[in-house]
Amino acid sequence: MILEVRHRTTYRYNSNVSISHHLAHLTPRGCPWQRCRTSVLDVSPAPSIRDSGTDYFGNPVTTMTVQQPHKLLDIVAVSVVDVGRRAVPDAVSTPAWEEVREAVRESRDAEALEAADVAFASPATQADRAIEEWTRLSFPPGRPILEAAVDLTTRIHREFAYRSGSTDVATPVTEAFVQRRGVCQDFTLIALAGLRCLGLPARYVSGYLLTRPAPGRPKLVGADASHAWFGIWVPGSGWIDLDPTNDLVVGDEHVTLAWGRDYGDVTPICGVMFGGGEHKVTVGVDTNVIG
Amino acid sequence: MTASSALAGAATAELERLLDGYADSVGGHDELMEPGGRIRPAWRSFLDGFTALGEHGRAGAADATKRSLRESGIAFNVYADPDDRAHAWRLDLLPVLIAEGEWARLSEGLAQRARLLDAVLVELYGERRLLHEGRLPPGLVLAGDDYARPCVGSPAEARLVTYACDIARTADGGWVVLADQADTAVGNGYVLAGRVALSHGLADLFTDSHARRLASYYLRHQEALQAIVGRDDGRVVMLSPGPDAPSYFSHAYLARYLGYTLVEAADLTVRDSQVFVKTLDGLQRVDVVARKLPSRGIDPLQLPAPGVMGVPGLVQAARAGRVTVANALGNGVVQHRVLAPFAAELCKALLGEELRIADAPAIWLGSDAGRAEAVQRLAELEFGPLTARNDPGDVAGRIVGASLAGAARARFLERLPRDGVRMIAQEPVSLATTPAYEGGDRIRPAPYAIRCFLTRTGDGGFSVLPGGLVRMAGSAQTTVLPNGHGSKDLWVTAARPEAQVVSILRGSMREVHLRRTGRDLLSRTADNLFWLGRYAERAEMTMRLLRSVLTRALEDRAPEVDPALLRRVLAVEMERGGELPVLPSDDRNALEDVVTLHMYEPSRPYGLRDSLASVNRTATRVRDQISHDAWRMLNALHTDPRWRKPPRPLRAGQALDLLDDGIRRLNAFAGTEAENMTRNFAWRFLEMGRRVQRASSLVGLVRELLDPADVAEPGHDLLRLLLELGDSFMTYRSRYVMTPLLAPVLDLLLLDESNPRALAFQLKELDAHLALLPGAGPHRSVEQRLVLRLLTEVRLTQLDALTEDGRGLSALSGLLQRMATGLPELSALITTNHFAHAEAPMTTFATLATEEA
Repeated sequence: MILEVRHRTTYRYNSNVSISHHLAHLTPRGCPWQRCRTSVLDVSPAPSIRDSGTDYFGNPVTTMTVQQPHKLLDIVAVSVVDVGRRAVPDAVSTPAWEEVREAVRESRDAEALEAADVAFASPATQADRAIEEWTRLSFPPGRPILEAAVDLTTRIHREFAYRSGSTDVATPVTEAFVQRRGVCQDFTLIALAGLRCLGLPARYVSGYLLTRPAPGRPKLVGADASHAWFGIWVPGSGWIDLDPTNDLVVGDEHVTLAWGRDYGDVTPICGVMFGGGEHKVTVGVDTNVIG
Repeated sequence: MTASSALAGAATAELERLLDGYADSVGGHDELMEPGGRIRPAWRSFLDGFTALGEHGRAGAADATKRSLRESGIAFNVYADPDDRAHAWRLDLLPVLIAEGEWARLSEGLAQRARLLDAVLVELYGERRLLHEGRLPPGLVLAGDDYARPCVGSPAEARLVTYACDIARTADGGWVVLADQADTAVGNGYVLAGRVALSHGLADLFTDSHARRLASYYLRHQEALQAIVGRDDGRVVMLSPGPDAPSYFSHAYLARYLGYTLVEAADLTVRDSQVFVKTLDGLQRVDVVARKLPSRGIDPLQLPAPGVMGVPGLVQAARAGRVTVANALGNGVVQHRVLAPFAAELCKALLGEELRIADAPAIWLGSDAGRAEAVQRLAELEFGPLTARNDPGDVAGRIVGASLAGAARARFLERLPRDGVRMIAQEPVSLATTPAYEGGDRIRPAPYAIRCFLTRTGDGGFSVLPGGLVRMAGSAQTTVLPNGHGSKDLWVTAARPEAQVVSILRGSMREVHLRRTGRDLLSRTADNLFWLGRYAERAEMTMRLLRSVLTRALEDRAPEVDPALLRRVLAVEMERGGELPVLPSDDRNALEDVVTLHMYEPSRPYGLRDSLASVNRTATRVRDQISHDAWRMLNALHTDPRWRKPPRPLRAGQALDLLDDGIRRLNAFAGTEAENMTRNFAWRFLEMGRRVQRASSLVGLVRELLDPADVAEPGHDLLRLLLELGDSFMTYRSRYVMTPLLAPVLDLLLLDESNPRALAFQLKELDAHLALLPGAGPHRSVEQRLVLRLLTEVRLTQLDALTEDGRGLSALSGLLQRMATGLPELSALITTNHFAHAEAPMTTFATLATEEA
């Protein structure tokens, strides 16, 4: 499926911003099931310094500095992406979750080391006893990893209410857990916090969902903005992505932007500005099938 | 018995008295005494000299040392009350003596550890074979917040430039490593200040001991930075967390010693991937950032940490190779105890050498085996964060296993598997002792540990500071560098004097660019100087006011003093501080009470204590710019305990003495400012602050006391008071030899440009200063135009118009009204146009996945 994603972010400031520095994860990364055909990042006013590269996790990243005084900053990313079907193993035949934990501890190959990078609590996924115990309900001894992770995904979907505006960046994962409500990144962070308590590698994935679903398929929650879900490492099968907001295994309706330990590593746009006073941000995402 | 042997006998008796009971208190290894009670060779001649000083000599040496320390302003918290023991820096009169030979062996071990840490860091931020080959467990590196992922793969052959290693001599005489300070090495400034003080207090003993000087170390450090930059005229700034950090004194002292500009994060800006420092004269390119700011939080964009502002874009600039950050960003990944369980193996693998100094026993709690052992030995161990900082005054929190019981123990054990990966368990080591001099003219053995400092050298090796920060311990065992029991100097003693005494000045004098203007003044510093001028002037005016009121209340000349007038004077001052206490107009005692309240009450806005605290705060931030004597004068004002401990019951007489003293000190400060400061920009900003404040105070005072609604005909008493407050009474007397009259008083206080206390004089001076600031061009700036307008209005004012019957006071009121509006506006304009770029508020934002339109 060929998808076109248009992601527009506009900042309006009360007073002039004299200088602002930005870090953007807005270019979809290449992966075995996804190829980015074109990706254009338009920024107005034009940054004096603009540098594109790859971050620690292999995600495309752009750093920008806007050095002219401005009261409005407009960032538009338009990408055309080929998304293919991803092979998903039979959940029952995946290794027991304890084996995955041991693999992360013992093996030192590149794949295991990449997994180790996301096997420990990160700043936004510090769990407590309640999260750990709740997660363990899905992980009785010997249960196949994917089966257990799918069960966890389903339980999050069932027990938590989708409520936009109920949480913000500063809400700790433990609080969102107690509230039993939140948005896609809260659900993702709860899953990650729980999985990492058990020593299991799991990564935060930032991306998009189809805005207008294919005929006969329901419109998914979170399609009007950018989206977040998590991936788990299944030795032998690679990384399998699960979307707790929609309770599904990720297929060809999700466009992957970037992955990392939590949103702190892959925030679509973060920035630091001097001056500006109050600011208002509007975000619009439009994802369409074009072929 | 000959005379000399009698003297020797007396000396022996004195030494025996000093050391009475010492041998019995020694448990393990002692620096002074061998197990049999014999004095070790390194100490013999020092101890003879120390004994020969006599009790009075020792007391004098202790006083001289203390005075030198106090004058340096050494403290954990530069704002703190100097009498507060928690923040005071205590230096023992006895240094730790270590003989040159032993120090050389120890230094080899320390330098080896520096090479090891550097190699590990280069590896972890480069090819990461240590992880791939399983020499370090991934969790040790990847689980914490200190592995700076954005810096992986960035160019850095020299990650470790300065390094501090906390070591201890154990009770059995060997040395162990307590912790690695690999991210930032903190505390050199304390060592320098301590050395200056003690070599002053014990001058002869210091010379005779041939103790190694510290200067050559700093020269090597400068050479190392020059080697990294590749030239020797690069601009180096020392990035400090600022005066709120407990170690700020150390940073400031070291920066001054090395000749580096001391900056805070807000003084730096990144443009075009280059780092600049904001000065009065615009942005100046920076080549090296010698940082005392931890990596975590140093760049809010790429290395964010909650509550830390940092320098946005610094990581990108460092990655682009446009600035050298020393130490390299991310060194915290091997901070504290991270390498303790692995150092011996790593040393063999990376350097092919045996580790020379062993680590104090430590267990990483990220493995099942480590946790199992820790649980089993819970009562013997102490627990803490793996990468903690542990600096003087800023101590790492620890959990003592033996003190865990009941629910706390259960909670600890429950979270151990979850959080253990970021924790370390340490077994306390038994410390050796060294002699400490204490009250009652006695020497006792005290347990101690040392923070040693190392710098990279120009040729890529490491050099050890021949000295160190010695911290005395409160108990015989420790797991970390102790805190709260005082410091000592460390002397590396030699049989012969050093062949060549190096002065740090040589290094920085190699190339001298003659400069007279000091355009490099930081915008933030200029801002602080301006406010120091304002606060000092405000404090002085407050003191004058209180003094005038108190004097009149005390004098038993009731018929001449109108209590209502005194009330009005007090009102001028106190109204600004919020609610005005009810003043019974005829009750003198109540008046005194209110005055003393305004003097002593610590938290009263615009109260005297508030003004003095502001003077101290701003003066502390600009210590480098004002003369040493000027700073000492203000510091003495701040440290005078009489301000903090009001006499009970309050006595107006004592309060008056104190006010007199305070006014004298502030005048002395103004005097050194006028006589001892070069006429650079720093001086101009200090002066402008003073002039703006003096003009404002005067205008406020005249407005309040000559309010046309109340005062139809100003009495002599009132005019005299005005002259007194405007410090112009003597001038008036010398000119007019008569009772004060309105016209000459107004002339003298407002219009007379030759009276340094008059309004016109302040405006004339402000006009002159503004014309000479950087950026002043052929056209007048907006603040210059404003000053000119105010000055011109004053110049064009006709005295007759102000004193004319009936209409005069309302004309005066109009003039004062315009001044009262114009002066704050002027202050704001100076702030915006000269300090603005240091002030811009910073906002960080992360636009999350689901922030919707």
